[in-house]
Amino acid sequence: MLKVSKLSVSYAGAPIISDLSFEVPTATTLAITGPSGVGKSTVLQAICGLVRIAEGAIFIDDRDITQLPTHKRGIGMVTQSNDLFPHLTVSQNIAFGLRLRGTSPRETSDRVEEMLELVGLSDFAHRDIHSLSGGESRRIAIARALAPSPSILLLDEPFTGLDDETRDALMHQVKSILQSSSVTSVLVTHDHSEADFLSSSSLALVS
Amino acid sequence: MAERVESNTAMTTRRLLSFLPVGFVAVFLVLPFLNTVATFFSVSTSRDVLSDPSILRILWFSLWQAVLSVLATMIFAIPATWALSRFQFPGARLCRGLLTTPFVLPSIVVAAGVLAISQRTGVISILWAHVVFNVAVVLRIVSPRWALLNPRYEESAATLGASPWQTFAHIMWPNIRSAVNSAAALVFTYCFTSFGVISIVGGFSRRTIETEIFTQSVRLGNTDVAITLAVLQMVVVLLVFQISRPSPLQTTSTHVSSAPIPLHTKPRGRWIVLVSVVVPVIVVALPLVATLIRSISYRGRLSFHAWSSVLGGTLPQLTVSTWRVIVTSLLFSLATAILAVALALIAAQQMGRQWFHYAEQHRILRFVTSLPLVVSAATLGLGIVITYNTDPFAWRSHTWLIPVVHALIALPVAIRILEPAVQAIPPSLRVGAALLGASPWHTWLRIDIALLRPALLRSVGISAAISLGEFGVTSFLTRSNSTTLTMAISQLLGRPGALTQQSGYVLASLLIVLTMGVTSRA
Repeated sequence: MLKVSKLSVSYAGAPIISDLSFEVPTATTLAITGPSGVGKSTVLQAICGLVRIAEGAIFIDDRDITQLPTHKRGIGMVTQSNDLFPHLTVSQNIAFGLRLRGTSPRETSDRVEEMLELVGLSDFAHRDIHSLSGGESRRIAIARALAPSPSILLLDEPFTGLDDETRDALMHQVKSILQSSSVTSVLVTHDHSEADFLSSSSLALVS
Repeated sequence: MAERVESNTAMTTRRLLSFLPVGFVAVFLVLPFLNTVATFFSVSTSRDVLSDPSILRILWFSLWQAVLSVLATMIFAIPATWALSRFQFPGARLCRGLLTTPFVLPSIVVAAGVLAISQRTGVISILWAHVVFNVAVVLRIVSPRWALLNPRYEESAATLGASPWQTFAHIMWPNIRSAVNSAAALVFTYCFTSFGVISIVGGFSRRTIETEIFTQSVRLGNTDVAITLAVLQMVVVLLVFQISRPSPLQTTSTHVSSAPIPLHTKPRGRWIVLVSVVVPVIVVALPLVATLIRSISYRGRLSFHAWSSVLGGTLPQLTVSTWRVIVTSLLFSLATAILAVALALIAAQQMGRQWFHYAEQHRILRFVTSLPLVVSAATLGLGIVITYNTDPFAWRSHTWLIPVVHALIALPVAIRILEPAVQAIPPSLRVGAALLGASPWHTWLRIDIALLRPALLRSVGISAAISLGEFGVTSFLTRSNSTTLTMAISQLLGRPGALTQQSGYVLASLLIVLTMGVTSRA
């Protein structure tokens, strides 16, 4: 379970998020919606430890992670820019987090295969990431985020920048992935149809 | 965007790391220079020096040979830059490579090559050697600017009745002027502070401020005169940079980059393009070819005797074996590359990553690490010899000081190679790595270093080449047990005897090969 308690984030003295609290029960998806600039992505960045929080606390399964650095939080994240590592192949990208955890080469290889199968790109292991389409890149980014079995998966506008057909196909695939992996997730979107389709609960931020 | 998280440890580490390159430049450049000025500079000596007719003649010669060198360089470089930026033809890449390579070659090798052809010292030889080096400077600075100039502007001008010359004057020149000015300032500085070229092809009668600083301080022991000349030289260099600074108007024009067009599509005047490239290539390549030819010719006949003497290890004219000279140069270049690139990487990562809070700190870091570009080799050598001469800092006789000072000279160049590469790494990749569990150390190693590999190889190559070819500061610091290739070449070419001279050309040829070798991946 993810719990955010009385979270406040400010920039140059001006509050961006004030006194925000919510909970996401295990294996469910919460959608955060709201207009541009309201601070939706900032909430995700605060959960990851990428921005300094002014007040509040963040818990994963009752463990306070507020003071932990990003790399020790065990959170996966997918953004609209994918951020696949350009010097690594598809399989090396997916294996990145596993190798850092000391997973054996055999287990890593099996897990990479499993993740590629999960996102429907089994034949893509040795592909150069520059050869991927927008939709394929997004699916590899999801596979990479899920590979180390994070306790929380954050999806920051994961369908932005895709054509309608790819977006619809990917939405269905992500829904099935979230259900089969039983991961607790938070989806940030400005699109209510995406929120309704993927989430079990939603939170609307207002300025 | 909210405030990015950075731990106290990271912040402290960042500040301490910034101190390393700044401290390095402070210890080996700023402190020696200030100490020398404070100790030896006096108004009365300066007045005497500036009213001495022989010094004024040297100042006048330094200025006009530099101005002529700039003009001569532009005569060859501007047409070549135009042709290579505008047109595509078989061999264009090779020609560009031939024109840009001499920039990394040791000045002493180029000077030796010119001497091999002209067989005489003097102004023509000086100008030729300066042209060989500096065509690359103009090509590298002006070519990207020319490539940004849309060819349609020229076509429009032509349809409006402008002749090719009018098109150049009214369309092209206003757009490339700031880049040409910057290149001219840099070329002027290189020629005004040139040491190796003047030492080899200047002869006894041709002295510049740079060579005079060496003569006054090392040969005559007139340190106060030398430091006055060093200050004077620096004032001229700073003045030139100030005058040539581009105005905001000159830098704000926007263009669309255009690829060179195939030469065969040019309706007429194709020979002008080819001549524009071929003539500079001949001028630049000839001295290098001459060096190689001179290394295998003895009194007009083919002879490998000098090669066998050099490779055999002993030359009576040198106090140490030739192999030791080669190994010393290679070890110095290796140490230089390691030190310069390590410090440059620290500086580039500090400046290249957009840390909002550290803008002021970055400005200081950029300013201090640029200082080696404006201080001439002789000034640097003089400062070090004087400052680090007494215990507990009597470092001037230590061999390690030579690669350290070479690294100081290579530092700004290495930073300029690495900084754009650091800036090109999207910060989101580091965030992505952290989210996957990578610690800051792992992120640096697996993302930053992995992506910086080509730029790192390039900066290692260029730093090593700078060390291999360095002659000015090395002249101040070298001892017989630390003789480098450039020093050995200078000693051999400065002595009479056909075989001695030929041996000098053999070492110069070896230096060309070594420099090409270390920069092959650059």
